[in-house]
Amino acid sequence: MRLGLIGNPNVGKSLIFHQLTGIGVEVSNYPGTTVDLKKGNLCFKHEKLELVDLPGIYSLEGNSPEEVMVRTFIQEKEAEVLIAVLDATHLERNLYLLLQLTEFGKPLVVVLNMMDEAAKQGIEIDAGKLSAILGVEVIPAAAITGMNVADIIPAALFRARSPSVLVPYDHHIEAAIRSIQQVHPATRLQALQALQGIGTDPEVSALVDALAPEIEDMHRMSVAQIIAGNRHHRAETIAREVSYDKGDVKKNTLDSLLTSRRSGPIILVAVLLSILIAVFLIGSVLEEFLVSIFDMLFISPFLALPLNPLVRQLGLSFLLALQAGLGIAFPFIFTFYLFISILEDSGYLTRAAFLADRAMHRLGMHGQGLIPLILGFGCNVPAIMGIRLLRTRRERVIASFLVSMVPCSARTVIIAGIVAAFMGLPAALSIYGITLGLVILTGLVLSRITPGEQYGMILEMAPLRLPSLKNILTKAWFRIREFLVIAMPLLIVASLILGFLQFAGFFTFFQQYISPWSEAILGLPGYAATALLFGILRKEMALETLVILAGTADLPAVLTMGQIYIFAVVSVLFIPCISTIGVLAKVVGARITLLVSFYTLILGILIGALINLIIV
Amino acid sequence: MKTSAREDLLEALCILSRDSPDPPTIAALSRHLSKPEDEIRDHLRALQNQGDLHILPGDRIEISAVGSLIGNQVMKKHRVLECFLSDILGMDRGTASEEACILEHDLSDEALERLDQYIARPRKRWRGGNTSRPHPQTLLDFPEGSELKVVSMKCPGGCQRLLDMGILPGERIRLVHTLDNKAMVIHVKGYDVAISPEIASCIYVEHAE
Repeated sequence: MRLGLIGNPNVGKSLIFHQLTGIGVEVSNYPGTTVDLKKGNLCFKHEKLELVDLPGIYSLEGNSPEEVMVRTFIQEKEAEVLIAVLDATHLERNLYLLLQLTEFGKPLVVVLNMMDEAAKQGIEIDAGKLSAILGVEVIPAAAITGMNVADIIPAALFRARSPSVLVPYDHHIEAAIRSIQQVHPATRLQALQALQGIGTDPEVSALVDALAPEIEDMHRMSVAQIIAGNRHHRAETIAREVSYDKGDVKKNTLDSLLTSRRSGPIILVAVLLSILIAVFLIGSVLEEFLVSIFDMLFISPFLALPLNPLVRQLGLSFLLALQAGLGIAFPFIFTFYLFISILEDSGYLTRAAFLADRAMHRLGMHGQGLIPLILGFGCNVPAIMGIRLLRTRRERVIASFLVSMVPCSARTVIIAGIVAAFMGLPAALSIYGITLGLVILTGLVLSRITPGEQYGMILEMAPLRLPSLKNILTKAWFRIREFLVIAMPLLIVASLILGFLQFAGFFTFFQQYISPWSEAILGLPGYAATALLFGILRKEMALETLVILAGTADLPAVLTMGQIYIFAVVSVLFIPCISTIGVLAKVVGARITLLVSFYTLILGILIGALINLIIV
Repeated sequence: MKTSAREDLLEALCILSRDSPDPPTIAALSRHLSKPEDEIRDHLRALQNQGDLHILPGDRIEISAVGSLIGNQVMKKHRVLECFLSDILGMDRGTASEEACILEHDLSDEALERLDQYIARPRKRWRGGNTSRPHPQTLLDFPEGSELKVVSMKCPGGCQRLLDMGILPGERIRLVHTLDNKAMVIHVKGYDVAISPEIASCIYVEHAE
């Protein structure tokens, strides 16, 4: 048996899912983060149940990918029972979605979540009365404290009913529904959907094309507006009947400070900069510590073993890959995700998106586009996945270019590992400066030349909350787990291949060909260019390979400062890593992926050559 | 009988015959106009003599071609007037409808046509003359902290998300914050929504009392 959790964004659905299934799932505070379906199993009285966490949506009749997905999910009867989660503090808006859901006629139970929060705000809700109006069971609950969460599954299994509440529509709409039903055997729901352009039956579409303009002419409003108005009106009536609001919500002064025209942008820049610098510093210290421990515990003992050369080479490659992966994952990525999770759970991320709207417009996107850009500093892969939330193809294309150029943790390792270590912090920051400058320039140009229309931002501000430590840790852990599961195996395999190639003497062969070019254009020795090439597999591997091929970790002994700097700049700008390319192809298609790879390749070489010209 | 009574009757007949395929009954007509059946029967007989309609057996009424022409014309006048009064002049929709019921009988065909054109493209009509009538105002025209009421919305590519969030004609909203480029946070139905300037420019509002 399968149960589906459905509700608006930010109603605590994921938390309920997490508590019911026991699997730690991200509890997101950013509207619509849960784009993918999350499934979990649970056992109730020896029966195995599957629980599906549907993405948070505002409507079942919209055309955003999540909305279409949930609509299809419900229509295809993929779940026997639906559990609708409502936010008691915003009952009216939540009832709007519930009223749409009732039209599907599926068996339901309603969970009235955040009752504790509502009580704090002086809102009282009569759950019994609400249940009587809707015709389904209503469970008042508070997922944060676990109140009544245990009642949800028994109620869904034994007491779920098809709701009896009906939305009375404007008489012209009702007449149109009847007309559609006369010519075509359609349910009330199908007729309503057809009126809003959902559905593919040509006969019905032709009829709607004839009916809709007449209605729109009479009301001077679109059919969608009339229908939405009727539903909101019904939701408002129900909310007024069952809830009692004792007083006004007091104005949150912190919120006005964070989003005001004067202090807002300053706070935003300060927050982002301090996060980046903190991650950079904390990461470098931790990484050094981790790497030296790893060296002491594994690498030195391994090298001391008497082994045949091939085994030794492959074993060393494996250990180095593990070392490099862990050295990035925990010090840099995990630290970064901790900070981002705090921003997200506290509700600040949506405010950041709002404040960035103006700047992002210059780059051809809008406020929401800031989120993938920030995520990109951690790892480009999840950031590119985040691009799917942007609404127009134009924005997704621009974002895919810009996100691929954002210096991720792996590139940070290179910057920290060679530039900061050998040339000092200012030189390291200058590489960030160059990269971000190029990101902005690219955005300015792309916003002029990318075809397609720009659509603005409509973004609900998540309420400001004090994030809980447990949620932040779980969330950061789940993000890093993705990295460990997807990227680490790739890293190890790539490293083994690399070790084998080195053993087989491929590098010396490759270097002969690349050396003249590399020396002429970038002023780098052939082995450095080889290392750059392997950066495509994983960025930080460029550094690892460089160390292996140079034969020493003391790079200033074999390279000049200028060469180190050029190497770092090129490897940071140069083609995104193979995982990013893979995700890009999935999100924006092969053509754009090729363009992005080609563009970054040319850009990396061009900037490298330019610096070479200036320094030499 | 008076012209206005005749026009009202024919208009009502047109509305009723559009809603259902069968010819309307006298009872339905009396309900629609909220007048006693006897009075309506008298009027109907007079109109039958003029050739506007036929009373069929079973108290059903069939409207003639001439009658339907007049009825539809009055219906259109009503609609255009109601729309003008409510959407452009900002009157309450109910009052606008009552007012339109009175005005529709004296509106000339030319005035109707021009009014209709004006409603379709209000801006273009006003460009020539330098009048004191203000343009319809959007969210962009108000400062932070304004208490507003949505009058209408015209979004390119639909405004489904706005509708789903409860931003629709008649809804009261508060403008919480604006940035320099007029990106803004608005408070609606108990929560805050951030919108870009291009979205704000499609939402027409007026001061809420």
